[in-house]
Amino acid sequence: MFKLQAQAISIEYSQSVKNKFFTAVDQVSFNIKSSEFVVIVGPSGCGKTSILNAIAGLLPITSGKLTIDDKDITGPGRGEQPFIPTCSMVFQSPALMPWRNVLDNVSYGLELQGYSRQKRYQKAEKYLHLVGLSKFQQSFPHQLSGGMQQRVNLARALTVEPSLLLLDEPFSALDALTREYMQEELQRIWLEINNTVVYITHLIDEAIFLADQILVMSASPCTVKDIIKVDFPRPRSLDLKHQSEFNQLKNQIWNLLKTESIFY
Amino acid sequence: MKKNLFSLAQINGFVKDKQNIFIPLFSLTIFLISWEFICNLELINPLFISSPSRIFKAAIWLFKNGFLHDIKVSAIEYSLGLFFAIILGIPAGIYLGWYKTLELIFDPFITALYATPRVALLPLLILWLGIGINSKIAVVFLGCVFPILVNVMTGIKTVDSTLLKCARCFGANDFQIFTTIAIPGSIPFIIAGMRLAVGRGLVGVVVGELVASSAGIGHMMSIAGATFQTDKLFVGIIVLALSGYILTELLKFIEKKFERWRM
Ligand SMILES: Nc1ncnc2c1ncn2[C@@H]1O[C@H](COP(=O)(O)OP(=O)(O)OP(=O)(O)O)[C@@H](O)[C@H]1O
Ligand SMILES: [Mg+2]
Repeated sequence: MFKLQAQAISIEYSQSVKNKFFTAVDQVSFNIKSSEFVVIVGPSGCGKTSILNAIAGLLPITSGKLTIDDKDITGPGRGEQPFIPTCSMVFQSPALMPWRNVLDNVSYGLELQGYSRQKRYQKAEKYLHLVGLSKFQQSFPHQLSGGMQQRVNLARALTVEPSLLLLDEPFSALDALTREYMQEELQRIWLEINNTVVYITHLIDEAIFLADQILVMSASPCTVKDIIKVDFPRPRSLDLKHQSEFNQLKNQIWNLLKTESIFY
Repeated sequence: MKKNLFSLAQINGFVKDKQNIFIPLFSLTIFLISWEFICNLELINPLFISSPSRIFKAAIWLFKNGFLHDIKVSAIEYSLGLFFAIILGIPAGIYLGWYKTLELIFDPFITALYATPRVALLPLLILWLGIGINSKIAVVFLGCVFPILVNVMTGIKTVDSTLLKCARCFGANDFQIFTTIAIPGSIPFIIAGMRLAVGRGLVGVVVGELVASSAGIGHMMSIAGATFQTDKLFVGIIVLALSGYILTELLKFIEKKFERWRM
């Protein structure tokens, strides 16, 4: 049984021109096992975000079958009461509420589900500790650095304890050094909670460093070009990036993506 | 300790030097004394520029002879107009910002009325509502409602779409998104709208009363102006200036309360 299954899914956007549809994702299939870390790489504009939105139930698929735990995804609010989110999303921008302090931002998901203040703070504190921001509970987002804000964003997604975590280029706004540090942090956090992760990135080395499995996508419309297994032992250290096997894998993916570049 | 010239607190205007109170007070005193002096020496005809002592006397006379009633009438016109503008403008702005179709329906009217100088509607309003307080309430309302409405609408429309997605993922319903994201997110816009509204409302009251009225500060001023009573005119101007000043300070105070709601 798979955690997440996509069978020939397509996503189309209606265009302003009458009766014209733009196919963003074309017949994509993949299977993701429970507790697997899957990274999607592909050229810009190929449709990665669209796939992630469809998984989150924010965007309908136009054909095919997309299931989480063998259940069809019908929308983000699935009508079950109480609603238990199976997935949460982390986006490129932290998108925190500037009028709430860190603790209230992080416990937002639980607040929506009607948890008592005490309970949600308890969980929020736990995940703030995990991302290393225990000292900043009472701070406001504008008082934090970009990297810290992104960690709050991550903690907010983790606090609802989703069985599926979706990350859309979460670290792309960070500088190279912070980014490497965050990759290591994410791995550490994930090894601790061990849920299923779908992660989108532009950086090949980030993909290899984090992934159990890499989906290499083609340019628009998006199709799966190759699926690459990565089985370096965990926990991986950043030194891995200098090893020859790592670089071989990097070249392999680079060659796959090279021909997809819009500039090619 | 070395004074940091560019400390963040100073840039944000949080720190006020105590000295700063005395400098404007001093300049004001100098101004008043020279004004009085120029008039006493009869360098300029007091009919045109009056003088502080004459204005003071006029003020006392006015307050003994029913000026308080005029102020009350103007205040009622102003506050009722503003009140209706707020209780209508904020919900309407929220609805129009949230539902695209509603916006499309009302957009031509809002744009046209927002662009028209409200005082141009005064003759019509007086025709409909008479020269009493109703026509003034209406003109204040029209002056205030659009800045509030348009700002709230913008606030609702510019809600962070990523934040919306995040809330939807957590299973938020429309009501929750409304109360936890849309409303708090538009507070700065509501305040910005209010700030515009406060000034426009004041213009509405005065112009309305100057055009046609039976009482009010503007009414007193229009009579005083027609009979060359410069001193009384100045009393009216000062009362209006003070009201504007107090209202602006009040809004600044409210704005500070919501400081951290801004980005
Ligand atoms: N709301 C929309 N309406 C119409 N077309 C859209 C919409 N969103 C995305 N698209 C189109 O779908 C395609 C895929 O977009 P998507 O955002 O999924 O790409 P992406 O792979 O995430 O790109 P990037 O790596 O740059 O973030 C793009 O060509 C885009 O033009
Ligand atoms: Mg994207």
